[in-house]
Amino acid sequence: MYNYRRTILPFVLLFASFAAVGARLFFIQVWNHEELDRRVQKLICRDRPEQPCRGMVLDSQGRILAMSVRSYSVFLDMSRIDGLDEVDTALRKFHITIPREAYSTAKNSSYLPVVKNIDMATMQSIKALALKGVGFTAGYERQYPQGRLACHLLGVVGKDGDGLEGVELRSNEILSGDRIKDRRYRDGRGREISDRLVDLKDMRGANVYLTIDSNLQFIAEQELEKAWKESRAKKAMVVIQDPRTGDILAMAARPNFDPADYAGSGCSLRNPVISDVFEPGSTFKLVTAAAAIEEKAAKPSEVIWCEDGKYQLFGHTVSDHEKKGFLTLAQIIEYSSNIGAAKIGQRLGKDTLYRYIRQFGFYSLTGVDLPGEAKGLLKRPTSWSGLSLPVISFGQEIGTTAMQITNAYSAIANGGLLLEPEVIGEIKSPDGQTVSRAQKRIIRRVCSPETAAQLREMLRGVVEEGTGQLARVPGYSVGGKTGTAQKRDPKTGRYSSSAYVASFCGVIPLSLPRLTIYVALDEPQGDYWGASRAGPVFSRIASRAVHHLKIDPDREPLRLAGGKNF
Amino acid sequence: MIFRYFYVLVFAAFILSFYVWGQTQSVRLGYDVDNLRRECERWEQENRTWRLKVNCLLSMERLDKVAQEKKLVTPDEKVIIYLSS
Repeated sequence: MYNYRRTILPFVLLFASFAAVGARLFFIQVWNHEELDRRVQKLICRDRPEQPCRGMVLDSQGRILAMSVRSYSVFLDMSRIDGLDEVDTALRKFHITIPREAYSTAKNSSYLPVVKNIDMATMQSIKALALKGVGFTAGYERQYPQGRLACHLLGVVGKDGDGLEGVELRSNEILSGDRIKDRRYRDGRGREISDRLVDLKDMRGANVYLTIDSNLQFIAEQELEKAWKESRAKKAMVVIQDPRTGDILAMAARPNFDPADYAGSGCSLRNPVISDVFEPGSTFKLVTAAAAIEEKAAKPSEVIWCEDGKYQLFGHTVSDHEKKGFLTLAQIIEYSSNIGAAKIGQRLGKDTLYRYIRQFGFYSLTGVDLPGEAKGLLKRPTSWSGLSLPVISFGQEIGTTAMQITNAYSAIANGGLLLEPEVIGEIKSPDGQTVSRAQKRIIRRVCSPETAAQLREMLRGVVEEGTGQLARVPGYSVGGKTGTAQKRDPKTGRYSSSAYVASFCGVIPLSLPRLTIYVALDEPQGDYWGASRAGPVFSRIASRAVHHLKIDPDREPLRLAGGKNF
Repeated sequence: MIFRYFYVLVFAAFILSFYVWGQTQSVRLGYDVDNLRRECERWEQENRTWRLKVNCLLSMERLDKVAQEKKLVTPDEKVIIYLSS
């Protein structure tokens, strides 16, 4: 007889087994899915924040001024090291010495730093030795291939890689990029893979292109270095600006520092061109002259009595470096007569002069895209003494920065427009796409084009016949103004008879201004006159600059060797 | 009838096997992609290191130093002829 029950029983048992397995699977994969998934994720998955490589800083021609490269630091896990001497011998081949603490206080340490910032090749060579207990951490090291060039402009980065000064600080967010989270999964062997394809471009910050030209910067720095050493001045500064656009083509100061190793430099990291305030002296007379012409308080050809070099005012004597009698406004600027400037200032009055001073950008930020800019010093007219008006007219009792003076002269050079100085020209993404580009920004009109033209003629007179003859550049029309400003003695509070700021600010070529160059030497030893100290420096810088930029001469014809004209 | 079920089972097994193979390949490719990414990053860093080296060698300061060591001098302006651009 066929036994139906016996036949069906194994199938029932089989079915029950499969049902039990199925139920268990359902419990694990559906009912308890979230809890188990969470545990698994915790075991195998981790989010690793990746710091992008800091972007590069380049000049206007694309030459690298600052960039970050992968660097590695070596550490010892003392708990895994068998023979410390063997490890020491192996590392010495790479000129790496194990710290003494490894032998004493740090014997059980799992992380003992040995050396920082070794390059990839060295790291790979050490890794190939497979030394037990020797580990590596990766990071980025900021390098400055041009050395000290434009150090004040570039600034520095701290140990954490963030900018502390200069462009590095100003563009820190752009250069740093955004931290990206790379989700990584680890298998049973400890190998990791990423959750997604991380684009290498996401691993880099954006690049910043400056307006400066490295070659021009080098020329400026080389001449400044020479002048600084010869004059044994405390400080020296130079700025080269394009008056047509406001772009800064070079900016340098002495003493300087190595941005890759600034800790022991002993030199301030602050940029004195924008942050040091000093009395400008006679270079400021241009503002007084501009106000006089605009307000029709004096004409360029008008004759003014300059008191034969000594002018008594409110119990003080205002004197000229050279006795002069009657001078026109143009000659007052040419021969830099303090008395002439004082008399013009008195004609203008406090409020008018103050208004023009502010109009030319003094006692306010120029807006240059660098951190730490100073506003300058200027009392309100209500606080001026009787002597303030004439004295401010020739550039004392007012504090300015080198950037403000350069910017004011650029306004005269371009026909009367005060522009915002630009240091950052362009920002490009890591794949080369332009993210933003600097545009010429007009702050305001400071004087009419006719007044600017008259002022340029006065500046020409300074160089051709006046105090600025040492600033001439063969083959080019040059206009400029010398400055020799007394400094205050901090101990007595009075003007010193031995401490001066010698300066010269000029424009070249005057017929079609392309460069405004300002040179200042703070407390030059011996000869302290702007005409003889700063003027020749301007001449050398301007001469090399115009040839580098291939600016055609606008004066004499070119001469071939042998004296024949071309 | 039995053969029909058998074909269905075989087909289902084939689909499942293909799925498992696909998953395994995906993980294997994931490893390969990650290795290639590291390799790419390594080459990129090497490229940056070389770019840095080139820029250091071409730096103005270094060129000036080399010129001084070789006793080169800046020519006098009088002997330079500039041709108009």
